[in-house]
Amino acid sequence: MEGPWVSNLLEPFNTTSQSLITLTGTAQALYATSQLPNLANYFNYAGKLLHFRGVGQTTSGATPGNFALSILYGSNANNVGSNIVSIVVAWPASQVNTTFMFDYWCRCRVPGASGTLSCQGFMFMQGFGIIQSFFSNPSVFTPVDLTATAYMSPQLFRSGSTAETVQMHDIFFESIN
Amino acid sequence: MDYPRSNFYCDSKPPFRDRSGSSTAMTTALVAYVPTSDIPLFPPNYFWAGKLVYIKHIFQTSSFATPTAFFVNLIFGNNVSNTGTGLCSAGITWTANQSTVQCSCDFWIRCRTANGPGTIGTLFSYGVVWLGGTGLIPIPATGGLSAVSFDTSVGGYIAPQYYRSGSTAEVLTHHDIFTRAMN
Repeated sequence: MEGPWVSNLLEPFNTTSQSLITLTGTAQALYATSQLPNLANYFNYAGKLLHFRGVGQTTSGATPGNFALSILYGSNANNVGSNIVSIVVAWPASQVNTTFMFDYWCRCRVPGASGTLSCQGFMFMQGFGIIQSFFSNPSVFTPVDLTATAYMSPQLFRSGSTAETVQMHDIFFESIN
Repeated sequence: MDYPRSNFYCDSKPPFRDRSGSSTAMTTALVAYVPTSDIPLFPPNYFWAGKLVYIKHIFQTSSFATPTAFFVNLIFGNNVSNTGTGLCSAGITWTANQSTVQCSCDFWIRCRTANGPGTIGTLFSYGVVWLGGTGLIPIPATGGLSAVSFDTSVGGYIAPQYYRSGSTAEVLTHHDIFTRAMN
C-alpha cells in the first residue's frame, strides 16, 4: 500500500438477482434501491472518483428499436433524477438471454449542494460489442445536489414495440480514492 | 478510502507474478495453464455472503488452420486440469492463423450464500474473454448466468482453464495473473 487513497467497495454488497423487468418506452430502474449505496455527501471533494459495474441478461423481440441505458443520479424511482450519462444504440432483434455489462467511472468536479459530476463509461453486450458513452455536455457538468440522499441509478428503456426484458444479476460500487 | 464509512478496502492477494510460462499445446480437454505457484489458496470459510473477488489473466495464443472454437472455464478446485467445480464458462469461434496474439480474461466471483444447509455455499461468477484477432465476448455469452454450489468447508484455488475444439496445434502461453479481494 502506498498511501491513504486505497480503494474500497461500498455497501450494500449484492447477493441476489433482481426481478425480471419488461421494458417500455420509459426509463425503468434496473436495481432495487436496497441494492444501491446511498451517496449523500459521498462526493465530498473535487476529484473523488467512483467506479461501478453491473451485469445482467436481456432478451429482445422482433422490433426492439433502440436500447437506451442511462445513469440517473436521484431517488432510483423510474425515470426520475439527473441523467448524467447515457448510451442509445440500435438493438438487434430476437436476442435471447444475452449477457449485458456496463462499467462507469464518475468523478466529482465540484462538491456540495450545487455540485457537478462527470461520468464516462461503456456497455458491453454479446452481439453488440462495446459501446462507449458520450463524453459531452450535458453529461460532463450536470449540477446536482451532492449532499442529499441519492443513488447512482442505472435505468433502461427501449424505443421499439415488443416485449423486451432485462434481468440484472450483480452490481458493485468501488470507491477509487 | 471512505473510512469510517467503510472498512471494505480492496487488496491484492499474493503470490505476485514475476515470470511468464512456456508455450503449451492446447488439446480438446481443459488444461490448467496457470501454475499453482502463481495463484492464492482460498482457505476454508474464506467466502461470506457478498464477498467479491476479481481475477485477471493475461496470456498469448496462436491459432492455426482449424482451431474451431476457444473455450474458457473458471474452475474452483485444486488447479488440476479438467478437475473441480466450474463457476462460469464461454466459447468463442476462433479465427484461424492468429500468430502470438495478446489475450486476456477478467472474472468476478461473488459469494451469494455461505451458510446454507450443512456446508453448502453459492458463488455467482461472470467475466469477459478477449482474444486478439478474434474479438471479445461475455462469460457466459448467453443463457447461463447462474450461481454454483460449493463446499464452504473446503479450501481451493480459483483459476481459468482452457481448451480448443479444433484439430490443429494451437498453443497458449501464460504470462500474468492477479487476484484482488474487492471487499
